[in-house]
Amino acid sequence: MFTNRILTRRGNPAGFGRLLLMLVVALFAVLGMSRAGWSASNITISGSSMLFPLEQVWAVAYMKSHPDVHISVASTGSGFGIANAANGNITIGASDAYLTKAFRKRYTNLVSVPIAFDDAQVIYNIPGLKKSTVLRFDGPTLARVFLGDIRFWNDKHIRALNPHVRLPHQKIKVIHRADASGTTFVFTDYLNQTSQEWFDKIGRDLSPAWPVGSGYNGSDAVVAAVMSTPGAIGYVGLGWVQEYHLTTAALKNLDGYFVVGSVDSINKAGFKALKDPEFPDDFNRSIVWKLHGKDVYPDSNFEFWMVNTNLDGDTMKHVRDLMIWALSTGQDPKYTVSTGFAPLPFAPLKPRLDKIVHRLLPGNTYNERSPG
Amino acid sequence: MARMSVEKFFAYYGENAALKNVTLEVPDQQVLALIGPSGCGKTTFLRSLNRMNDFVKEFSIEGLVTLDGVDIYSPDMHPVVLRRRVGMVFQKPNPFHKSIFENVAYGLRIQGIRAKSVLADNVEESLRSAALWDEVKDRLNDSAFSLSGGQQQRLCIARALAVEPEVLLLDEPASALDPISTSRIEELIQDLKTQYAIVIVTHNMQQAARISDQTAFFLLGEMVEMGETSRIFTNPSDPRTEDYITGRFG
Amino acid sequence: MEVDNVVPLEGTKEKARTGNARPGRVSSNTFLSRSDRFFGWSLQGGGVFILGLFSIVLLICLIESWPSIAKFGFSFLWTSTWNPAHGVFGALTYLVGTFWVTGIALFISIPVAIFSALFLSDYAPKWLSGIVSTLMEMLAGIPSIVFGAFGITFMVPLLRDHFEPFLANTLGKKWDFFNGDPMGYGILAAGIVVGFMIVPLVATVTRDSLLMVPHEMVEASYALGATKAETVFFVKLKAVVPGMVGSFILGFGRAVGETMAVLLVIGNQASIPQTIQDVGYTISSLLANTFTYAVIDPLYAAAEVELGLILLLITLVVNTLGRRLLMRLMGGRLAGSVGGG
Repeated sequence: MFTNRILTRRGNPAGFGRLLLMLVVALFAVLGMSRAGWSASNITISGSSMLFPLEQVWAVAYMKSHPDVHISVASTGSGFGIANAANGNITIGASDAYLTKAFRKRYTNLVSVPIAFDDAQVIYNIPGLKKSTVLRFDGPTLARVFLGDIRFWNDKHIRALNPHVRLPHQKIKVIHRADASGTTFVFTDYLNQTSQEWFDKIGRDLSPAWPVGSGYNGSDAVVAAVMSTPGAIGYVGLGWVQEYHLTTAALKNLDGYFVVGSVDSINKAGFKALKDPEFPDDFNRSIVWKLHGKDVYPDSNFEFWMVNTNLDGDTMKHVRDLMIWALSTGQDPKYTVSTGFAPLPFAPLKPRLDKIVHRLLPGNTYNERSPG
Repeated sequence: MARMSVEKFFAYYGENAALKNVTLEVPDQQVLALIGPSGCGKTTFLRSLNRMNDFVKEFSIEGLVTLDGVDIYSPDMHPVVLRRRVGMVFQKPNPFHKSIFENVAYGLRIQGIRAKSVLADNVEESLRSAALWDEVKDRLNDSAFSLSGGQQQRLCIARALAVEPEVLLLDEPASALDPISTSRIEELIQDLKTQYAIVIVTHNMQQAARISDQTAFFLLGEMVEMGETSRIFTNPSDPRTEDYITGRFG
Repeated sequence: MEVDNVVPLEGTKEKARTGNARPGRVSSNTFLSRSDRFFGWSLQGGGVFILGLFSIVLLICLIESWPSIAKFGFSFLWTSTWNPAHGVFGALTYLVGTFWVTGIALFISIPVAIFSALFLSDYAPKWLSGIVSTLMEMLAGIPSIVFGAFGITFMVPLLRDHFEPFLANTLGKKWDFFNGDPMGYGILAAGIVVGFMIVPLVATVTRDSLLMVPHEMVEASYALGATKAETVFFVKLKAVVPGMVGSFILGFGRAVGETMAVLLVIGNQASIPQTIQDVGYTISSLLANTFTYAVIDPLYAAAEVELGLILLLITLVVNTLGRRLLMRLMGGRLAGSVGGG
């Protein structure tokens, strides 16, 4: 019953569903192409399954106001998106992760455009605990749990952080994502920045080598597994927390405050990052565990569109217009919050966006929008 | 002295009477041949003697069949017990997907005999009785399907003998075999009749004349006449029998 | 056959040239030979297509996985570290997981399938057997994701709350292998779900074989005073061994490659199961979960393709060994056996 409900949300993240979706999208893309010819107004976006629902509502809204543009969207996984944007198979590659140094070297022609904001929040199922009880975690303790070193809920490290909570002697069941996932990247990024042990043994990745626990395909399956397994701990993004009114742990941030993830606390993080002159304009750096502030949630990050600098001029202009629309009109909560993201604060983003547009279309700024 | 006797026996497939008012006796230590044209009911009759027709849908009978005085269709006689006492060999060799040894031992095993020496003795004795021992004694563990058709049929006879029946029913046992195998089977039947009551269905009149002591002639579901084989073949009392054995029909 | 076809054709041509042949007959003969040949060629084309397709799949797998093969060699097979971030890949964990799921699936499905096949062929009244057979064929056609959903909603809670604790408290007292932590998800759930999936396959093939057992063989058993149960178990079942082994191989092939249903219930954790209650990972579910991501890194992608190649080779080897086993079982005397496959 429970799983039925959640299977309907966000399409079907499972492999077969994804494949089917790709086929359908490809079919529509072909139909679209035959209608519009091989014109430049055809934009294909493919990649991150997490961004997919947001891109879908964007595409519908944008095509309504821009009838000359056809957008096809596919959920194929971030890796597919990055690789295929780099080799020119698609117009835009959607990715949950920024380009790490190694990938920047391999894919030199890609520009990362921050497009939305997401986070990873820790959820748990502890028998005997009131639903409203918020547990506190810091990075090293969380890392020990996910490394399998802390095995029971009443472990002294967890108790030290939660002196007022009566924790049972219950085995911890670690639940993680099995598919490559942006949420996993954001989550392991937090562990990576805060725990030397995690950094040495596992690292951050969309699909890391999990030492313990069990993996599930898609956030819906993670929620279902945590809810149905006594003693479970897992992580999901903001959208899922809101959808199911889940209680999530407060995570320790750089200044020592324990903050629960919310649209507000994540927005604050984005604002701080964009205002920070140290933060690079190519966005190729994590903001996890980098930000000061009392209300700043420490485990959030950007979602990206990867754009190939070698696109032809006409296509590039359409991409620029779409990008700017997405970052302004498209950040409305009716698009972002409703599909599980926090809006990006536009004001501090504007100057950085200018530089991105310069890289894509030398001599252009975002203000010089093509008419129509 | 009769081993089995049949009185006023009727057999039906649904509404159709396949046997009408058959009365005869199966003599002990003799061979009784059932002859007649195709569809005359002789096979139905044979299969009624060990209730193999029970598996045929809509088959029913009237009349009395006794084995040593006991009605074989009464609750006093379980068909499984009956079939151990009245063995049967079929038209086509039908060995099991087992070794030569296990084919013969099968009937004993299902009776619960497990002792290796008992099984081995019985198998050897049965194979000897079926005149097959010398040909297979070195390859008892080979598949029964490695034997020739004639050998397979003798194996089936050995298999039937192993459970020590009192009556042996043979349904055209040589019709699928070559002449040499046929004559071996015929010799075998001659040997076996000293210990068993044998009923054989055959199409081959010469065969009936060669091997049987008594002959019963069936026609259109009725038993026309029965008697000493020599008399039936030389001096039949019914003109229909004469027509048949002189080849005027059938 | 080639010779039979060609020689008379040459002959008629010769005759036609010398003008002695009857034209009508020659042309019709030629036409028949030609259409016969054309038919032969098209059949040959089908065979070549299959061979070509197989070779291409194998070749592409080899090429695509070459970076991984070159780098790790055979150690790929017996090392268990799989860490894309560090560029280290070893397949052992996934091989073991695949082995367990397939083993449990066959262990469960084979007896169930044989019993249902026997029921359908010999015990069920005709009307019931018809209904159950139809249902079974429908069951065989259900998409595996539906079995996966059944696994999550039904098997996982059942295993977690009842069966796995029961195993731990009984067999687990004696063997550590059964004394795991009840989780519901894991190799047991995956094995059972896959087992259910292959029951219809194995049962249908076995039932068809049983139905083809010659009636004479059955009668022979009855005539020896065997009961129905004795006949069915000792004679009929024995006669369909080749067909059954064939169906087991089919079932194995299905189980070893099953993806969606396994992925949903196995727990997708790359560690070697220590108990039957543990989670695990199979080759196919790993590929389904991560392959679209793996394309980002050539070595990562190569390692995953190599896993696929291994899966292909396992199926190939089992099929071949299965055939060999059959040959040995029957000692080349397949005459009269049923459903040899």
